[in-house]
Parts: sequence; structure tokens; C-alpha cells
Amino acid sequence: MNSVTQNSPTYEAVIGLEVHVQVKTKSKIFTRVEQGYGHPENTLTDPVVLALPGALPVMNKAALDAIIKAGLMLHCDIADVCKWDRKNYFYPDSPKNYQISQYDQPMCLGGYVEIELPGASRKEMGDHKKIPLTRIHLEEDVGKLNHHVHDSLVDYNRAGTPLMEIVSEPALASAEEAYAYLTALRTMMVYADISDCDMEKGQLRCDANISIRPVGQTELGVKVELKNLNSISYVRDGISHEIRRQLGVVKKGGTIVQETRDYDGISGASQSLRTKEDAHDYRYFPDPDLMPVRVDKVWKDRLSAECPERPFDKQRRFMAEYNLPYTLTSVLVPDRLLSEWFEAAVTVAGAAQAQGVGNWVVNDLLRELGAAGQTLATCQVTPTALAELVGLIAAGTITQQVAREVFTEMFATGESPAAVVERKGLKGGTNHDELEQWCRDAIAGNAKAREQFLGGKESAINAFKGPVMKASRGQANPRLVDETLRRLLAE
Amino acid sequence: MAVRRRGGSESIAALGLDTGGSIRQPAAFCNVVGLKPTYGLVSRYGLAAFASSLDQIGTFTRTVEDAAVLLEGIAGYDHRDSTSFKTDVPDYRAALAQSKGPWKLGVPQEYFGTGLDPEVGAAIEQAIEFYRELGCEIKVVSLPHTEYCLSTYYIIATAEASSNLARYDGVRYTHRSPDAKDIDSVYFKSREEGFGPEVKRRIILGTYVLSSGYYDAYYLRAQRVRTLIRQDFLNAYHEVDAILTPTTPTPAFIIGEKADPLAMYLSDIYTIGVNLAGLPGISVPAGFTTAGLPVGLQLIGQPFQESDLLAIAHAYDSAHDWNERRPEL
Repeated sequence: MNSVTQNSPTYEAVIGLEVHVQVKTKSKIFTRVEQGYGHPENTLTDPVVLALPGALPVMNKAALDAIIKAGLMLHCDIADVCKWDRKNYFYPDSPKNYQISQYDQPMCLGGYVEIELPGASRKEMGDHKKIPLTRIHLEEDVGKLNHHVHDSLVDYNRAGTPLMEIVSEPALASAEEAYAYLTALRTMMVYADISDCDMEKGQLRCDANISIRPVGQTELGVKVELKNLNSISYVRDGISHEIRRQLGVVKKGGTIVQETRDYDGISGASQSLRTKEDAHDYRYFPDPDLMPVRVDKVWKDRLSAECPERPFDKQRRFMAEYNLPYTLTSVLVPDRLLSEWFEAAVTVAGAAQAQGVGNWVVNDLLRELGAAGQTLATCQVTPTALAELVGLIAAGTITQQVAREVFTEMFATGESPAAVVERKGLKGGTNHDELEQWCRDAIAGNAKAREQFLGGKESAINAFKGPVMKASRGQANPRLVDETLRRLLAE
Repeated sequence: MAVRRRGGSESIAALGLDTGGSIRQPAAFCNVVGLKPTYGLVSRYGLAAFASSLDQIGTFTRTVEDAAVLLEGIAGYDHRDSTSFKTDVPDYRAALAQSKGPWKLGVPQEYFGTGLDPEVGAAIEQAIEFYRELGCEIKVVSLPHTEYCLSTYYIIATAEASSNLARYDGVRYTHRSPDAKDIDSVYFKSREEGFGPEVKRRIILGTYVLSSGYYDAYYLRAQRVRTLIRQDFLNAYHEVDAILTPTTPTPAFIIGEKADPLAMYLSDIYTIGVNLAGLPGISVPAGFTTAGLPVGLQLIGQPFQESDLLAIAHAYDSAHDWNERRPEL
């Protein structure tokens, strides 16, 4: 949906996103109190968090590391100096009645988020696009107001959590692009271990600036800011809704008013929160309590070395290097640990077995993990063990079907595949005498099928395979069974 | 800060906060020693902030030697204050004896013009004469941006104060108006009732100078001038070890005498440059007017060179007994 058609003229949407991402540091951004979610109210506090008189902020370097890594992942220019400003406004969730933030010298400038749009089908990679960023800056999160019937209570647990604000250029053309942008951004932040980006816990929050304009017009239309988009789906739905709303206003001959609107994901409706006249004057000025911090090349280089390969880069590499189909990579790559697990197994099994390893990981490993309610972290199967299993199949030692049984055992006990095969006596297909006897019995037991096959009906051979596989308890190598049957039938 | 009352000392020493002269000026008026250390020498953690970039904890004592002892106790790096300076704290008291001069002392011409009370001026001239007899070289120096100190100070200090005092909103602590009905009235009524007129004046002024459209003309320009003011002092220190001035242009005034806030602000004119430049300054008792009011001698040192400053002040203080005399009330 690159343009939104109305009778005439044709309008297009222009969307910019402001994304807040909580940084996963141990302690808060300006004090040593731990950060966290779901703790009893006002337990993650100290004099700094509560802004008691005399308390002073001291910067947590881990938060600075995180935003620099985010900037490096997103191709930004990283500032040489980290400078702090005060954003002054009164609200009870802000204990100092100013927020420590970055105003005119954000930590990161420029850069872009690479996004993937939906492909023609699930099996095909969609178009990729680079969405330019304006800036990323670091600030402290505020507390939370809990509204009751007669009063409102403040919980300062969240106050002081390090928060990155990632601002895109107005460069997104549709709700789908916004959805793809957030998905890509989230994957990137999780990859670099900057944030878990759990939207339910408020670790990733998104506001959208939306405007429409006639196609061909270069200047932007009047923008509406949409707030409280609490899930990636709500972002998509909210933006779609807002574009339709604005088109409706224009269609009726009205004009768009610059305002902030609140989107309710459940009802799918939005309502005005405030108009431009209520805009704040934040009276930014440099925070005199915090000294600027110089970020030198050594510092940046160290963090650059800590950055993982970007997900889309890895996906392209997997497809090129291992000849993996897009569908496999689109499951393997978004989960960094899974992709690393896969690659560790391929290293042992050899690149020629990559697709086989990939299939085992995506189908069997994920299924067993899901069924057992486990994660890779607790998984007893090692990448090396899976590589060995794939090796046994490739060598014809066991069949695919037997391998499934072996894998289930490996998953349950953590044994090596060789040990399982040995213990359960599953080494099938090697005892040719036994197989040959089963095949002879099968042919002797079905004279009609034999006649049909010899009469030219190729598919009749399948009638013998069932009894053979049954006799071998599923362990016979199907390729070997087929060969043996043909040899005996030709006698 | 009641340091001295009729009948003798209430205490040996006290701590104070000097943002624009609030240690040195009352010390001069009360015939005691007042020391404002270099910005960053003493931690501000625990100090209710007024103007963060100017605030510095200092000492009130009877003698310079006592100031040296107390300073050694409170100086030094504190990881809880990011503006705290990583420096070794010397034995200031031992330094009093070690550093014997003679020193080169600068007398800034801008501090001896109109507005200086003749009797205060005469007392300071005598102090200059004392140092000259001690063998010190007295040089006239220039601090050309002195005339901008007051306006620069009242922009930066009030801007920071308007933000620092925002936390006193009645939500978690301080006065909450009994008439407050919603969040806006908690803010408006509580702050209207809780703050005095001078604080309100400063909050309004500070809010104004930070406002969109005025920031560049006021706050940003004031910060630039502040750099020039500091540079004036640093230039002078190429020629001299310390600078010598009166602490205040006049002796103590009668309570309520200065109804005009601007007239009141002018009494800080010799002390605020030191805060803007982040330098150490000390006021030492230097005699009395004919009406019996104390006069303060201010010595201004180089950044983190408190040892030298205290030694210079001690040379005068230990040779005089002004601090033994009680003002006649």
C-alpha cells in the first residue's frame, strides 16, 4: 500500500516513528538501584530515583555502551561527546519535574533501519528498504501513574530506567512498512542484547506521526501524533485507522488539525488528547550536575567488536553460503541463539549438510522444545550431536525414520546419537541377509502384486514395502529395500 | 547563619553554602573567616541544590587555621557527585607553615571604583600595605568583564534554580496546599504558598531566560560571558599568585534597609565572579568602620590551590586580632 486511493486526487501517507526502547542494564541510568519489571510498588527506589533534595545523578556507563552499540548496529554517526540536558515539565511521574535527556547533541545521528516487506508468498523474500533515521538519544524513563476512583498513585519503579528514543525520518509509506520497521528494529535490539523489547512490559513503546498529502506534493501534510500503540499489531492497525480517518476528513472537505491522539487497540478507535496550542516549552538546558563524557575511538572500537552480525546480513549469508531456502532462514535467523546453534552444527556436519541440519533444527528441534516447554538454553541436544545424527543418515547407517526416534531419545536423555543407536539396536539396513529374507517373504505373500509389477505396473512394488518395513520395525533403509525388491523380482 | 552573637562564639566552626557569596559576605559582616573552596573540591551530594554549577560547600571559622583544618575534613572526591574533582587532598594546616611567600598579589582595578564605601576601601588599603611590608609584590591587574558578573550570575543562577526547585511540588514532600483539588492545583497552590517572594522572583526569572525564543539571548550568552569571566582570572594568574579585593562594597546594612532587590543584589558584586569562575575565595576579618561594623578582606586563589590561598590569608589573619573584637551592638 504505497498510495491510498480516494476518488481524486490520489493521496499518499507519510509516517515517522518515535520508538522508545528500554536498555537492559543491571542498574538504573543515574544510580545503582537495580531496574526491573513487576516488583512491588516503589521498591526500586533510592534518593536519586525519588529526587530527594541533595541527591545527584551519576551516569551508568553500561547505558552509554548500549546506545552506542545500537547506533553502530543501525549505521549511525556516533557523537564524540555524551552531553546531557534537562527537559523541564511538571508531571507526577517525573520526580524531579525535569527529565534528564539529550537535546541538541544526541548520541547517534543518521543511520537507517533495513526492513523487509511481505513477499509474494511466504516462500519468497520480500523487497528490502532502508528507512533513514533522524537520531537516537538516551534519557531516563519516568514513573507510572496508577489511577484509582478518588486519586492517582505514583509508582517510581520504572523511573530512571535507561531509555533510548529512536526517531525515524518521515519515510514510511504505509502501516505495513511501519510494522516491518518495528519488527526489524526489535530483532536488531534483541540481537545486540540491548533490550528484550517486550512490549507488554513496556520495554519497546511506539508513537507514530502520520500525515497524508496528494501524490506528487513534496511538502508534508499536517501531522497527527498517535500514542499508546502497545503492540506491533496495534501500531499497524492504529496507523491504518488514522490514515483512513484523515482521508475521511479530507474527503468531506475538512482540514487535518495538528494534534495528539490516543489509539485504543481493543476498540480500534482513537480520540484527541491535545492540540498544538497545548504544546510544552520544555526549557532545555545542559544539566549542570553531569559532566560531558568523551567517547574516544578505542571505546567505540571495543563496542563495534561486540556487535553481532546484523540479522538481514546473516540471512543473506545463510542463503548464499549454505544454499538454504528463504523459508528456513526466515525461521532460523530472527532468533540469534537458534541461528548460532544451527551454524555450530553446520560447522561440524559440513556445509553440504546445511539444509539437512536446518530442517532438523526448524522442524524437529523447535517442535521438541515447544512440546517440552524448553528453550535452547536448557536443551540437552548439542549442535555436535545433531551434526552426528545428520552424518549417520547421510552415511546410510540409519534411516530418516529411525533418526526421528533417535532424536527423541537424544532430546530426552542428552545421549549422543551413536549411543542411542547402539543401546536400542537400531542399526538398520546393514544386515542384508535379514532384509533379503523379509523381501522374499513379502513377494511370496503377494503373487498378484508380483504379476502386476512384472506386467509393467511400476507402482505395484509399493505393495511389498509395507510388510518389509513392518518386519524391520521401521528400521530398514527404504532405498535398500527398493533395490533389494527390484533385484529379487528380476530373478 | 548565626555564627557569632554578642557575648562570644556560639560555635567553633560551621559549614555553609556559597553560590554567589553566601559564605564570604556574611562572614565579612560578622567578623569571621569564610572560605568558599574551588568548585568540585567538596562534594555537593546531600546539599539541597540552588544553582548546581555555582553551589559550593565551604566553611565559617574564627581563624584561617581553623578553616584549613575543617577544609581537609570535607574536601575530596565523591563518586556520588559527577562534578566532584579527582584530586589529592593535602594537609592544608601543614601548608600554612610551609608556604611563606613572599607572594605576588593582584589588585583588580575594577573592584575599587564607584560604589565602594570609603571606610571599607581604607581598611583594604591597610591590608595591602601589610602584604607590601611582608615583601609581597602588589600589582594592579584587570578583570575586564567584571561589569557583566552580576547579570551573568542572575541569569545562570536563576535558570538552574528554576529547574532545581521544581521538585518542591508537594507531591512527595514539602508543603502541600490543603486547598489543592487536582494535580494542577497541587502544583500551583502548594508552590504559591510554600515559596517566599524572593524565591518566586528567581524562579520566574530563571523560567523566562530558558524559554523558547529567549534561551540564546540570555542563557547561552551568559554561559559565553561566564567563560570570559573565568578567562579574566586565569589571565591575571599568569602575573600574580592571588587576587586581593574587598569582600563587600559596604559594611553590613540594616535589616529591611534594602527593599529594592536590585540594591540587595549589588552587595554580591565582589563575590559572584569567584563563583562564576569556579575559583576558591576566602574572606578574612580586616578591621572596623568608625561605626564599629566589620570589614572583610577577600583573597581569591587559583583552581585547587587552596594551600597557597590559605597560607596567604593566614599570613594576614595570624598577624591581626580583629577576630578577637566584638562588634558593638
